[in-house]
Order: sequence, then C-alpha cells, then structure tokens
Amino acid sequence: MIDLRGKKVIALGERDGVPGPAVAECASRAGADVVLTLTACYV
Amino acid sequence: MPQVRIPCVPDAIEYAPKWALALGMIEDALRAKLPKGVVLADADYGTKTVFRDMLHVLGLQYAVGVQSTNKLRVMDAAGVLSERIERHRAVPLVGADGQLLGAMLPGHDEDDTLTGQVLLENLACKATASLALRHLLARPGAIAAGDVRYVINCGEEAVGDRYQRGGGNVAKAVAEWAGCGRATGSDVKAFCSGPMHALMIAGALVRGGLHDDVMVVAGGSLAKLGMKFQGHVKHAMPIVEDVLAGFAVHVSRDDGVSPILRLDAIGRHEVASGSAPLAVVKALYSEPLARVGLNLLDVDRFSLELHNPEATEPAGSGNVPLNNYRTLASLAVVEKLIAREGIDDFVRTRGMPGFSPTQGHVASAVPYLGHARRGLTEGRLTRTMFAGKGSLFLGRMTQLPDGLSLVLERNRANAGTA
Repeated sequence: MIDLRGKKVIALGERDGVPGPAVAECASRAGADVVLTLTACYV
Repeated sequence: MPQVRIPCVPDAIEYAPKWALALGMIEDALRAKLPKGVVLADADYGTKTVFRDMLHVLGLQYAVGVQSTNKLRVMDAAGVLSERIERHRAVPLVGADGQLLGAMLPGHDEDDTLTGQVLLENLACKATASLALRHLLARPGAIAAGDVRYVINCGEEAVGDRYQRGGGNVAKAVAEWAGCGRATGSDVKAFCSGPMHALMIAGALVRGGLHDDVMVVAGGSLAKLGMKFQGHVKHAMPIVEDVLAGFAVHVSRDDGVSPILRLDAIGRHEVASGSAPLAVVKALYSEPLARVGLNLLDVDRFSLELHNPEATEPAGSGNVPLNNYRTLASLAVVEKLIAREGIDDFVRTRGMPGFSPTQGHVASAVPYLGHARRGLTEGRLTRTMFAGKGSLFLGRMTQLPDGLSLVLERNRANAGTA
C-alpha cells in the first residue's frame, strides 16, 4: 500500500484499460495532488 | 493621412501564385475535353519547374519563356524524381526492393498542412475509400452510381490547408472518383467512433426522408502502416501492418430483407458519462438495450474493437478485443445476467477474435458489419450490436473519450427465414 497523501502524481491511463481521468480520480481521493493526466491509445 | 491598421487582418496573406492558377485552368480545360493545344507562357511561368513538369505530366506540349540565368539540364525520370526530392521537398516513394518509384510533391511552398507527406496520407485515404465505394457499386443489384445523392466520409484524415486544417469533405472527393455525379456529402469526425456516428446520421437521414440512399465510406490510414514495427522486429516477425483498409456501407430505406438499424437504441457516451471502464460500457451497451426492453443476453454477437492481436501483442499492446469483451462480460456479471464463472463463455459465444488490420477507425466494430448482414439475413442471427470508441483525448482538447453503439436486427419481414 502506497500512501499518496501530499504526493505529486502523474496519472497515465490507457483507453482500453483504465483511462487517465479514472486513475486521477482514485489518486486524488487518496490525497494526492494530480499534476498531469494523460490517456494513451495503443491502437 | 495616417495609415490605418486593422488589427485582425494579418500583414501579408499569400495567395496561390499565377502559375498555380494557370495550371488549375488548364486542368479544368482538359476535364472539359477542350482540344489540346500548345501551352504558351512567358518566363514568369516558364521558370517554374513544377509548372513545366505538370504540363509534361498532363501530356501537353509547351513553349515557355525562361530567364537567361536558367540552367537547362536533360534528366531521365530518376533524375526528375531526385530533383523533386532534393529541391522541392517531395516525399520519396520507395519500393520494397529499394528502388525509387515516385515522389509526392508538396502542394504549397510554406503550408505545413500541404506537405508531400500530408498529401500522400490524404490521397491514400481518398483512394482506399473510393475503391471501397466502387467495389460496393459494382456488386450485383447495387444502386447505380448516378442515383447516390449523399456520401458521408468518416475516414481519419483532416483535409484542408493552413487556414482550415480540417476543412474536410473528402466525401465529395470520393463521390467524384466513384462516379456519383449527383451526390454531395460531408465528413464526420470522431476519432475511432466516427464510423458509428456516420452510420447513425445516415440512418437518420434515411428515416427522416431526406435521402433514400446514403453511402458511408472511410479510407485507410497511411500513418498506421508499420505503426508497431518495433515490436515485430524485436520478435523477429514480419511487419504485419502492411495493408490499407477501407469500407463502404449502403444505408437505404427498409427493403423488407436487409437488417434494420434501430435508431431507438443508440448507445451514447455522454459528456457526463465518466471515463471509468464500467461506466463507459454501461452507457454504450446496457442503457440503450434497456431503453427498448432488452438486455445484454438478447444480443447474439457484439462487435467492438477488432484489432488483430497478432499485430498488437508483440508490441506490448495486448489483445485489445479480448480485453474489451472481458470488460463487457464484467458488466453482465454486475447486472447479474451471468455468473462470474460465465465470463469466458460470454466472451467466446458473443464475441469474436480480432481479425482487422490496425487501421484505427476501420478496425472499430465495422469489419463485422458484412458478416452481421449475412447472419441477419441468411443465417441464424437475430440481433447484433456494434460499438466504436474514440480517443478524443489524443487531440489534447479534452480528457474525454467518445463512444457510440448501434443495434442491428433481423428484418421483421424476414423473421421466418433461416
């Protein structure tokens, strides 16, 4: 378990997996400061 | 009198040069079947190598002035190509054996949206879409090209110039090449969900009575050839992304046989739908089905992302269709339609292996359309569902994805057959 409180987080997601905004939402609710959100598409 | 400056007008706007305008008029004259004469022009035109080359390409004789400082060189075809590449920033077209086969000239000296590379990609898109439409029109019983009144293009390329980069209407260019002289059209852009939007709009145009027959077309993506070559090379396998794809679909009024596009069961990923995987599949699948009293188990076959895993897995991108089918099956578990142990069976019986080239929008659900049509008319299928997902976030204007789904059903007049 990683304690994300007060940490800066870059949220990298994937379209056919977990997209960036969903990663960012989880990190944010865990107390992180999300500084960048990106979603990749591998096709 | 003081000089007046209007701040919203740039200082200099570059217009097409005279030689380009003349060339356009000459091409118009040839299209109008005017007799071919000798082209005469002064040195303002004659010093432009591209102008002279194009006259040669058009099969015209010419006598043009040149300046005394011009150098004259006699070159063979290879020399002409080399000069275009070295001096005019043309993109070389090289065969598999390394031989120089041609070159794509830029459309403008300074416009980054008209470089040889961009024009080559646009031309590949137009050509493959046109080929698909011509194949469709050549099928037995197909509508006559002259009866097509509207074409929607949902290919990925943004055709335009620097003042309107996505100007569009490749559809009309495709219609022209396919001989659809009475057609007009427009482009629909939504990344890989574009084909679903285009089919929906086509259905609405027909249902609304505006047009009886609408063609939906898309050409291939040159940029995606060899997109994942590093993974293939790393695994000592051939670079399998070696084909341009295209498709054409005829959407028409109910003929009593062809499958019905259910416009009352369109699945929409809306702005507020969110990006969590289950939220996306719920918006695309269970919500539209519930709207017409159906659930996931009422659909015989789902067509989602159909990228061939032979191309994606060696590059580390995984089996995209399988991942998406498993997410959909998870929705069926959440909605208590199947048990968790039934996920594999759901995927096997209601999904399919990815079999499409990784051509982006083309691989997005559409490749199964022809098979579905056959299954819904001659086979045992009752209902199929198509869903495309668009990666809008790649354009950096939003973090949102997009998605749209369609239900295709056996024609009720055809219900007793098969």
